Amino acid sequence: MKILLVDDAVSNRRAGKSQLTALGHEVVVTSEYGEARALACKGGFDIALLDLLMPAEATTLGTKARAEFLGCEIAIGFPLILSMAGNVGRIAVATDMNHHNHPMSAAVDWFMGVQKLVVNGSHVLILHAPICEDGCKNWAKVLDQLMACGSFTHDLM
Amino acid sequence: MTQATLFIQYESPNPANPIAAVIAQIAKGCGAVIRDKLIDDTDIETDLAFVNSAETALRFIKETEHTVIFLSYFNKNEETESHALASRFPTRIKAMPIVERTGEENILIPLILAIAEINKEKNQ
Repeated sequence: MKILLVDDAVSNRRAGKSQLTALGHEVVVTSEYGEARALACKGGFDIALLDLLMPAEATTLGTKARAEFLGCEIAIGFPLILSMAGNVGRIAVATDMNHHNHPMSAAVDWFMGVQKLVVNGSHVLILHAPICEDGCKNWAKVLDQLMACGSFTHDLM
Repeated sequence: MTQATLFIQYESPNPANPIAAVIAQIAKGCGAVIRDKLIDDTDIETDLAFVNSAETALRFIKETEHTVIFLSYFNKNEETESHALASRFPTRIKAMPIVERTGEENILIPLILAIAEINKEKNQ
């Protein structure tokens, strides 16, 4: 399968590329969510694996907003789902942020065990990332769980 | 002798990019090696990077784990944005004016000190 992996942490991107390539998948990695969206819109990806919290990019921000927001962690994983839905068959958002430390990570708790989300035809999984012994995300397990999403009954869009 | 490594991405409308050339000359003169890639083919990052755009600094933060980024600026808008970004990554980004408006401080001084410090550490 062709997988788009989006994470701002070098260690998580390296781990994901290594884990998923070893499973025989073609993996495209990026740290930029704007680039990720553009790649997904072009099409050709079967799977998108996304980080939840990433530093805000400049995009269309004006001068004041750039000073206020550039580099601040934002929960971009959620709008990325909506943006990619319909273009990518299966999408997972996986965070390694402790749910005691960030409100949007706490919101991920709402989706624990929910494996029936369909957004604009795409199967969606939102979860706390399984972690490897070295502290990196276990993207192979995230993929396993995403592929196990079977009976889809909730169409959100 | 192992030397500090520096990658420079100084964006300029001038194709000759004389400021980047000057920064490279000064850094080399102070003991750094200039690299043409931020990360080489064996995933080794440069010790230092020199940029003049907050967006580029942020991209480098995400592309590397350890590289310390010197973010230079000229005007007031860039100053506010650069210091705001540096405050979010205090161990990774040093924001300073390329030339201070009223004083004599400029970003090359801490860059030279950083090169010296890295060279000292690498050769102890």
